[in-house]
Amino acid sequence: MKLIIAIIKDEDNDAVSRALTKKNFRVTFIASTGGFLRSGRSTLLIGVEDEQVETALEVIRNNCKKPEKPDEKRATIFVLNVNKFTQL
Amino acid sequence: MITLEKFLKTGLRYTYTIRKTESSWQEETTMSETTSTEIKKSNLLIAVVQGQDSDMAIDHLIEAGFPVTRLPSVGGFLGRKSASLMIGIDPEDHEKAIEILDKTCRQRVAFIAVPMENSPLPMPAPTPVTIGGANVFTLDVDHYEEF
Repeated sequence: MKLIIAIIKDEDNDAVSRALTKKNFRVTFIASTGGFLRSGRSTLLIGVEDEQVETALEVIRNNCKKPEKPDEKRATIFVLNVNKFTQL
Repeated sequence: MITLEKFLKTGLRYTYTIRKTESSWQEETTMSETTSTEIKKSNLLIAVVQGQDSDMAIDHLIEAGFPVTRLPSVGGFLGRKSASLMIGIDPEDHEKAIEILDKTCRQRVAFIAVPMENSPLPMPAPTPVTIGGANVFTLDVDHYEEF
């Protein structure tokens, strides 16, 4: 089990969350700020099975809009290992 | 086809521009290897700091070149406003980041009103409580990417 923490732009949030939900990934969204101008960022927490990590990352990559400026960052993604996962 | 695990071991950045060329996975890694001087963050710090310290902490962290994401949160003994900062760092920068947090986030003594015992009227007695500082969790990152 892995935990994906994806920090994306607010405007991409809707598309990414929808696409992930469609593929049966469970998404938790936290509003956050950060980056150069401290503008709106969305943090997504996604718990996935090890073999599905790449699929989930692909969904995020495909649903983030292309950057307007070449050096602009659209998303920052951390994949963490989950020691124990319990769902009640 | 390069496996995710093998890719992670390279610890290299997987950039959007490279992906856009629609090159194969193999080519992607060779291309990233040439840019290995770039960030290879493999630790995630989650620092819970006091609300009033967070601006200072973020300013200093950004100045030192650490990317910060701030999540507003509430918690602790007094249930006060705090900020959870998520910071991606190289392991060798760990000390530096901790030092910045140490400098910017101070422990404070707050006074809360506790009703005095054995008093006929509800008399509040000021009681000192130590709050704040920073709680930092360092997590290993299996895979990091930004695009």
